[in-house]
Amino acid sequence: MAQELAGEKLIERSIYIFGIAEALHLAGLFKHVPVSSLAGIALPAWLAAVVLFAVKDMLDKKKKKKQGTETESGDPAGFRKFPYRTLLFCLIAVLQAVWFLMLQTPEISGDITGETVQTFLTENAVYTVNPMTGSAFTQGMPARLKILGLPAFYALICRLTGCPAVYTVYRIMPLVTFLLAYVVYGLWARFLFPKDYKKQITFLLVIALLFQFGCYGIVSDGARLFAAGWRGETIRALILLPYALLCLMKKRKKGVLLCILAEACMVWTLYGAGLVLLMTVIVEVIRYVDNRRHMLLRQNFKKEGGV
Amino acid sequence: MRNLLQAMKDGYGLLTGEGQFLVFFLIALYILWFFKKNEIKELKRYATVMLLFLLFPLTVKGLMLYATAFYGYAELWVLLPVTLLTGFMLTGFIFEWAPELPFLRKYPVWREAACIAAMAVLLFLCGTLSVMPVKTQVASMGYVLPKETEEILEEYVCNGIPEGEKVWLLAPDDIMAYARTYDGRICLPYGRFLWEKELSAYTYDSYAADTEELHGWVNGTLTGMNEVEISENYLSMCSSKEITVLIFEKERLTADGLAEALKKQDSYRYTGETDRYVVYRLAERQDA
Repeated sequence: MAQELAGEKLIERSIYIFGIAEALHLAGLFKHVPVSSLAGIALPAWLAAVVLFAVKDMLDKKKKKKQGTETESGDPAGFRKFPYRTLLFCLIAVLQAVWFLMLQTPEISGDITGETVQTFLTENAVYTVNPMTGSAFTQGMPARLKILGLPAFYALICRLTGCPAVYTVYRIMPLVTFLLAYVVYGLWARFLFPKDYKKQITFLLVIALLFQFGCYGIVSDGARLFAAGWRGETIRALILLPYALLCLMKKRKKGVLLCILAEACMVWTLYGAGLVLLMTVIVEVIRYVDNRRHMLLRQNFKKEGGV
Repeated sequence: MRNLLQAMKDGYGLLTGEGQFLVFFLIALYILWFFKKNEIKELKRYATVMLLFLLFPLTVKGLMLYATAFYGYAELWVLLPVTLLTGFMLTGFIFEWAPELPFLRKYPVWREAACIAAMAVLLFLCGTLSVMPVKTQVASMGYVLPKETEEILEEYVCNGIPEGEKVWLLAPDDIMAYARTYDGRICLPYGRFLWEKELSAYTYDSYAADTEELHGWVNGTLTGMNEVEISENYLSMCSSKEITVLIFEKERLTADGLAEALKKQDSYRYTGETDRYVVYRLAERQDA
């Protein structure tokens, strides 16, 4: 089995952490548990998850030490060899973070996450009033939107940290998305250019430039990253889809499954069937057709007397 | 079919905006198919199949149905790894094709740096430096939401709300859009989905025609609004509905009958103003 990279662990464990929030959100929604009580459960649950991850890592490390296999480490040699390129990438990334955190007004059109988080916190309940007005629903809200857990996740973070919802939703969470997006593209760099640090860091530099100058349309990757990083659609476009595609290329089923589940809990899908699932199906069909073609070619070759 | 084609055209416009990065992606696919036949085969095939799916109207219809028509055509393009393949192609260009270039032959490191710089310039020329120029605004230092909106909400709306109580606000869209995000204790007579139609998917609630007229009145878009009587009626309606805070754009107080109607009534009292807005508060609440 291929060694799990630190980036892969980070992405997948972030999904697990979000999964806990989703479970709590459903409890709040269907069992009417107050948000303050959910926060009381979330903190120990998240801490327990972090401890479990740490213990698993330690056990894995020990196991690998016993077996004599190398553990994954960063590439300090690569950094020493190409410090300017690495520093340039880091500088661009930091400037991007400062740029969008300090200078951009969040793009809220078509999105009600901010209102929803504030409503959860004010009402101390999940979807008891219309987030857009603050008064009781007259007709209600689609159930498949109600089950999405991102607002509850953000509300729990607000409740636990005391950070205002405006900062949590529009500043802190976009920063997390920004970092995870680079982690995903970092993993792609390792996949596309294995053991070639120079190419890997150049690839990341190119990606940073593509993000920076690619803010031209409201659905372009750059615009999503810099103006709407808290939205489920952004997380899907910049983290879940590229990461699931990477997992598909590497044939890591667990990663794909986690992304499919995460998407179902973050954005409006067809009863849980989202774009990650569609992408998975298409890749698998392409793979099947290709395998079948190779098999037929081999059979024909044998029939014609080939060795 | 015509609707579908129109949706595709609009979606394509949203997707590309003023940028040309999709062209880089197409060049990347071309290079992968014809010059680098053995590299990232599966990714290349997936990207090609997905591109065809996204261009062919019948498959687009299928994809849009799969996405429950909640997301538009432009959103479906996230399925295409545009940034990934473009990044791969440009990196490959720097390392494989740049060495063939005639200039700076003796200085390979400088040649790579020059290539990266040239590529940055090219991306800048084909893209943009500002985020979605039409829609977003530059935030003021220390403010997340637009500065004036945040100031007015803090100073005139949320300031002094008693514990456990709520405040009802009626204001132009620029303020209403951020009000509930800023503070959950602010309640609104109508939600953002009244003027942002795509948000109506988030709720089954709907509004009667008089609420739409109220929205038009406070934003100054209602026809025949220069008559004092109309404003008087709306002001009395607001006070009967116990709307605590009313905010108008300053310029309206000089242009239509609103200024006179505000002078005639005694339900709302002038509370303050900013560069752009003027604030009135329900008299009883202010007295209390």
